Amino acid sequence: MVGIFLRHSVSPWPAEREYVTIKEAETDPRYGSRPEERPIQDMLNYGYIPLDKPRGPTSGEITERVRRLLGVERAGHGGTLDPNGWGRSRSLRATPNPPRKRNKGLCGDPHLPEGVRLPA
Amino acid sequence: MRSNVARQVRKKELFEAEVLERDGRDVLLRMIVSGGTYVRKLCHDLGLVLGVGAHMVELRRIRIGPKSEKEAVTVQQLQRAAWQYREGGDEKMLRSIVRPIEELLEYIPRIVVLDSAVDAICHGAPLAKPGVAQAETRITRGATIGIYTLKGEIVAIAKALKSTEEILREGGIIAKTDRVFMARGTYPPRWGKGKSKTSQPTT
Repeated sequence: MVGIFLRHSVSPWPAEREYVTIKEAETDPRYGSRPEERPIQDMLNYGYIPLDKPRGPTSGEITERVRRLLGVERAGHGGTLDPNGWGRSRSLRATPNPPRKRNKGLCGDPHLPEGVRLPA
Repeated sequence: MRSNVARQVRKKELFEAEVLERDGRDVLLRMIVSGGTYVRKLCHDLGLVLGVGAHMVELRRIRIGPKSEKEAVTVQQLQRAAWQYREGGDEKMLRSIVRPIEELLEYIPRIVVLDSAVDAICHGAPLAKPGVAQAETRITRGATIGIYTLKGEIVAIAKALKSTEEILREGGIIAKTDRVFMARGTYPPRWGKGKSKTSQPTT
């Protein structure tokens, strides 16, 4: 049974970020890459896809299809829509290191992916 | 309807609800709910409260956090993009579909760290003050924060042990690493080497 009450929705993400600088520093261009400049293979291992899930197949079935399509070792989805639901299920693949602790998802949406490994 | 979600008492927040359309006994509702709300059960409960009974027929998720359904692509579009990349080596379409993971973490306050601190965090080390370049002003003690590189890449999710003010005032451990995203070895390991100005790749 639900106790229903409404609350004004306030977006939990900021329009702008305010920082304090602790130490001025530069970054070495030889390592890593800006998220938008990431090589496509890294993007596939660190990315997510906002996918419009068709009606019928389950989120798990769609995730498996996406995994094969992209040829990645593992893929996951955030949010269980039941088989007749449709809409945005999302496919995610990320985190090359095996997680020490299973991620239970942060409060609110979106959920973070479960631990996923890089293709060997 | 059978479902894989266990029915149990859960406390969830419902932010908005409105009736969009009504056709006899069919009602179309739009709701904004917190993550993990089981909408099928919510519909069922609404029926109980109203004393008439209700079932959910269809469900469409129109937004997750800051991501709306307008950004969503179909499986066919993805299929085409994947084919273009794998057969023709053209990554343009695939690139427009696959989004960086950082976008999903928009709502978490950030701490930006020096290149020299990155690999230690990838190995699970806690973040100490000497590794910090910038900290967002809204960090509170105990908050979940994101540790980022100066290039804006997510390194890990961590638990803040100090607020922004405390970080400015004191030294020591600032955040406990919780969940690492970045592959070890992406940045060179620098710990235990003292204050070295030259960042020679060590492997």
